[in-house]
Parts: sequence; C-alpha cells; structure tokens
Amino acid sequence: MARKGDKMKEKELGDFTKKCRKNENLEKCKCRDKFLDKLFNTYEPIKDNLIQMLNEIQEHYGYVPMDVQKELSEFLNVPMAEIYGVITFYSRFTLKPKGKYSISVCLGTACYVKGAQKIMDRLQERLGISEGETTKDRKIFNRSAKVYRSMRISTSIYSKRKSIWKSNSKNA
Amino acid sequence: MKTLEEIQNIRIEKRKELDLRVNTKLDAREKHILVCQGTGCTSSNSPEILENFKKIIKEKNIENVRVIKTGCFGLCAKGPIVIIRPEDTFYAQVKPEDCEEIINTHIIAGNRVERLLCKDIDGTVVQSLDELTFYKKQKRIALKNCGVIDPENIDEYIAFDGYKALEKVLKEMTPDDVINVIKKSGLRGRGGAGFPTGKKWELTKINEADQKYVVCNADEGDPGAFMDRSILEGDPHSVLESMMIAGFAIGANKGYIYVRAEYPIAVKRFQIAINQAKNYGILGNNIFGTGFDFDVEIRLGAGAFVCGEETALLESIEGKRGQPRIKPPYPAVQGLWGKPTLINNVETYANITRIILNGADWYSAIGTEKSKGTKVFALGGNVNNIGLVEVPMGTTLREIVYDIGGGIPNNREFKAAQTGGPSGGCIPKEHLDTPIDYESLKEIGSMMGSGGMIIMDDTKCMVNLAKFYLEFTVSESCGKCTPCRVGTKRMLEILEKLCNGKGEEEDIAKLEMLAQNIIKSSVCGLGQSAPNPVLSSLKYFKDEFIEHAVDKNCRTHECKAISKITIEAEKCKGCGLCQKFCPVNAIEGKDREKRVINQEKCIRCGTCIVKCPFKAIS
Repeated sequence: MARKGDKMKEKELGDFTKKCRKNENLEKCKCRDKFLDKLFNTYEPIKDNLIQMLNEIQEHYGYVPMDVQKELSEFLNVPMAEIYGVITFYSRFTLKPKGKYSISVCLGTACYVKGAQKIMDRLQERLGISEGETTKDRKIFNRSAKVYRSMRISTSIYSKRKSIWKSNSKNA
Repeated sequence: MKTLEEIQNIRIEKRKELDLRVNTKLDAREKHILVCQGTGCTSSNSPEILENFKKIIKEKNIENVRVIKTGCFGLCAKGPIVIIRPEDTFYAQVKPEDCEEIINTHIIAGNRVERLLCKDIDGTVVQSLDELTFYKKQKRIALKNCGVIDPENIDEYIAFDGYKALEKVLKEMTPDDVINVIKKSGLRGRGGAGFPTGKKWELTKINEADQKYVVCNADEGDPGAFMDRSILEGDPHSVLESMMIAGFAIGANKGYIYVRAEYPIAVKRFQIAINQAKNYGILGNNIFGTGFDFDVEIRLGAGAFVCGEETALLESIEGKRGQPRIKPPYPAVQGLWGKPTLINNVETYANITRIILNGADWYSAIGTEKSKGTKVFALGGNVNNIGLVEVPMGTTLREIVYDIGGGIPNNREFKAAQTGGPSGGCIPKEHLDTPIDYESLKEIGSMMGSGGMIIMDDTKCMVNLAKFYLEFTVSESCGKCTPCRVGTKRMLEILEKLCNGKGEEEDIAKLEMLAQNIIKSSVCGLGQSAPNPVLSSLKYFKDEFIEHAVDKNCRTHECKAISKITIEAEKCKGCGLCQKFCPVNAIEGKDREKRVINQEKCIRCGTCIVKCPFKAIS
C-alpha cells in the first residue's frame, strides 16, 4: 500500500556531502559527478522528491546550477519549466551563486520592533549592496530573513553560521 | 527492538533516576546540570557551555553529576540558561568561561554563584525557578517536557510517561473511543483558525479509502512566532507519538511532517526521534504486537509562508509549487495524492498525548467555555520577559504583558499587542482586559493565530507596522488569485504613500474598501486574512492614519519622510553645533539663542540629532 518512493533511505539530513562552493568552475569541479551519483542513488525518480532534491543541491552548491537542473529534469522526467517554477517559488532556492559569507538580518516582527531595519540600512550603506545582492568579491551576500526568528534582548544578525547578538546600528 | 515489557521497565527504572528533575524536595545523590539547547540559546553559545561542563567534570573526575542538553525553558531573554536540579537553581546569561566557577562553587562547595543568579523584573535575586514571576501564572501542558528531558534521548521521554498514551490507545481503545475523547476534551486546532480537532479526525475517519495520511504542519510562517520550533526541539517524541495516535484513530499508516528548512535543529532532533523510535520497534510494523503499522517521514519546506496553508502544504509535499487548492473538497476528503488526509499543527499534536493519559474531563476543565486547554504564545517585542509562555485560555492580555511579561521596558507605555502575525490584528490598550480565547479575540478584530504575540510601546508607528505586515504578505503571496496578488500590492502602495507624506484623506477610505474586497474574494486563508493587520489598526488607530494623510506627520518619528524633527527649547543651550552641520541650512537662530528648525527646508537627515551634545533634538 505504501507509495513508491515512500521508503526513502534513512539518512541524517544536511549531512549529505561536503559543500562545494566552486561556483565559477563547475565543469572542473571534481565532486560534481560524485555528488550527483549519490543524489540520484538516494532518491527515487519520482516527482514528489523534487523539493527534497533541490534542497540538497542548494545546500551543496549554494545555488541551483543550470546544468544540474538539466540532469534533474532528465532524472525525474519533469520539464525544465516546472523545475524553474518550483525554484523561483521558494525563497530558499537561488539561481545565482551566493557569496562566501551570507549575512541574514532578521526582520521578523520582534526584531523589527526593536529596530532591525536600521541595521539593515547601515549594512547596505557600508557594503554598497542592497538586499539579496552579493558584493563584487563574492564574499558577502546580503539578505533579509524575514522569518528567521530567534528572539533575544535585541536584534540579531546571522552571519557565517554564527550569530552576532545584541547588535545595534552603530556596530554594524 | 524492545518488547512492551522492556519499555515498561525502562519507564520505571529511568523514572527513579530522573525524578529529581521534577521533584525539588528530593534528597538525591546525583545532580543534573541542564543546559538549554534551543535555537535562541544555541546562537548565544550554549553548545560550548555544554562541552565546557562535560570537559571540566571529566578533568576533575567528579562523580554523580550529569550534564544534559534540554529544550527551551521559555525565558529566552535570559539565555543561555543553565539550571541545576534537584535544587532548581536558575543561572541566567551564562558564558562558557563561567562553567568552572559554577562547578567549583556550586557542585563542589555547595554554594550558589550569586553573580549569575537570575534577577526578577523588580531586581530581586531569584533562588529557584518557581520563584520567577514569569512562571507563576503559566500552566505547562504542551511544553510539559520542554526543559525537563533530553530531547535526543528516547529513554528520558519514556520515563516521563512517554509512549504510554500510545500503548493505552492501541491496547485498550477503539478508534471511535479515541475520537470521542478528543471531541469531549474540546481541543481546537492551534494553527490559528481553531477548528475542533475531534471533529476533524472524525471527518477524516468516515471517508473510506485504501490509503490515508496523517500530516503534521510545522511550517511555522508567522514572523514572530516560534512555539512549534520549540516544541519540536524540546519534545519531538510527543509529536511523533500523537501522530501515531491520530493515525490509529483515522485509519492511516503513513505520516508526514512538513518542517521549515530554516529550523535545522528541529529537523535534526525529529529525525533522531524517528530513528530511535524505529530502533525500539515503537515505529514501524506491528507496533506493540497489535498489528498496527505506522511510518513517519520528514519533508522539508523551502521558505514559503503560504505553505502553512493546509492545501498549499499538500502541494508542496507532492513536490509542486505551494499554491493552495480550491476548497472543497477539503483535505479530509481529498488530500495528499487525492487520499483523505488529516492535517494538524505541532501544538495541537503536543496536547493529544496529555489528553489521552489524563482524560477529556481534566483537559476540558482548563480554559473558557468554548476554548479549552492552554495556548502557547511567543512573547516578543517591547516587553521585559521575551520568551515562550503557556497560559490557560481565558487569561487576560494584561496578565500576560504585566505579570508574565514583566511589563514594558524603560517605563514606557503599552500601546498595542499584535497577535496572529500577518493574518491577525492588534489589540489596543482599552482591550487589555479581554480574556484570550478564539471568540473574544475575533470579536475585537484580531485572531488567535498560531501564537505570535508582539508587544509594542508608544514609540511604534501603527501605519508603519501595517506596512511591514503588508510587505510580508505581498512578497509571500503565491500569485494564484488576483485579489491577493494585485490587491495587497495596491494596498501596500497606498500605505507607502501615507508613510512618505504623499497620502490624501480619501486614501484611507480606499484602503478600507480594498481590504474588504480582498477578504471577500481571495481563494485561501492567506489572502482572506492579509488585510486584517491594516483593518484592525484602522479600527483602533485611525487618528494616526489621518495624521499621516492630512497633517503629514508621524508622531513616533518612525516614518522618516514625514517625521518632524524638533528642538526642545528647554534643553537647547544655543551652541549652534546643529546649525553648523545642517547640510541644507534649515536651522535658524543666532549666537547663544535657542535654535529652531525650519520644517520646509529640513530633509530629515538626522545629522543634527547625532550632533547635539545636549540631546535636545528629536
């Protein structure tokens, strides 16, 4: 009675492969075939797994590269257009590489009430980029995480997987 | 694999060992150091604290002390939190380097580290957890195990009556019995709308099909709410157990939990819970030898608010764009892959095991006439005790803000509370004494919502806040139906006009009309409730909207474009610094005279505010 593909292999989520961030030289990237092999072995070729697989790809590359989309399309037998539709629908997936460090400023209500927008403005001014952009050296990617919410006494900035608590607009 | 007897043995043995966690009077040989590992405390270095404790204990070779990671204690503002049991000492804002002192002074010498003890709002030093005013009016049912057990250890869950409810259901009850208990308890959906849970189960049960599904909605979208996350992080097994009970009641043997990918800790702990339950034979085939099969799988969300809507969530599980379906047919008839599907929120599930164990009468005795039980709120914003609170239904807002929340910081005045996030509305000062339940909140133009509660003081501009929520819904609208896609955008444009000083009085009427039309014609809950924040602020703070539109003034200075910067005459010493730095020469006055800002020339850059040595400009 169980649907095909329901028996997804048990695995620790997020512990898939080491991250690859060689955004520019994907063809030269050694781990590419290895990663895709592993991905296609873990999931069964049914459409239901699309979002799960995109999550893995996004996690691995920091974005969803075009040629990986093509492979995915063939594997799942889903048109490219539909994959594009799904990628653009969910805010977690991006079509362009993100920077090495990503700064997320929490603009959730609680932080907003405490002045998170001021921090955002100040960051944009200092880095010379606006929300969702990457600096020229690809080091910093700036985005607002509206629903990243963790509450503390003050506003929080999420950067380099560590968060800096109690920031204020001055020390941004 | 464990037999039922083995599990019962674990329950008895472990309980003896862990009794000191709940019984403060106990004269135990052991001491347990509990370190909060919720997301809030984790971000402020609590994993390092945990490691430090372990390291020091190993180095010093101390016996009878255990370090345990737990879920959220609730008082996130005071994190990272360390609690030492059985004496219940509450250490707040602990740093990794404090571990040594705690071990030396508390564990070895037996004295409390006064410096780190938590201070209550009135400044008194609190010796133990129960003394905190934050906890006094709370009643923990859904959060019962959060902060008591190690969420990554199934034995500890079993010790605190874990999987006992499942055993009772499978061995002693029929599906109809279960549904009757839930119905009788009066439990209503905690996701926001408050649909009676028992009724939902019954509707899903009566639909005959070869396959049914149980889905847990953990796509907590409200920006400002984190109850579901804390439950999943602190007590994942209770959600798992309740999903199995639901599966038994409606005749499903497959469950999905849809969690936001933004909650990595919650996802990890739930996966661990699933694996442990499978190892013990609690999850899988022929559970407890009763012939009941059940399996649960995690599905990750990918950052779309609309996926919290039940039919959009189903689409997303199926691997499609998360656009809502037209209802009816409801998921109870045609849900996941066209099969009858039961969808409940995390908090709803967290209540189920307690109801089964303690009975429907126990549960329905708590709360108000139509809203039973307790509700967890994520208290945030301008309030002293930020954190997670669980109160019985019918508690007034005043009790939550002033007694549990400890009042507003800096002695400012309460202006409004926002509940229900982007779908809810605000509650002004005059309704502070409204009892909080589904009906009375709806009556005053707000809604229960999933449980986000943001408190605002008098420095917050309501027009700006309405704009903030609309920005959110505009960016999260899925685009399927026109009223929501275009209508909310137009509303946002009007609000932006108001905030930029380009609004007119008739804009307010336009805003109201547009809002009503969007409510009437949108397909799903997101669109139908998107104008609520605007409508409720219009209802209670219309004067502020008129002020923005007609006088072109924002009294809180939050809307920069129209806030008037003024110099307080009493504080101004006439030094002229502001005049010197003003880029557009908008400040008038000579020598030692008091300065005045020419509002027509002023571009509100704020330079003078920073430059004034007497803080006279605001």
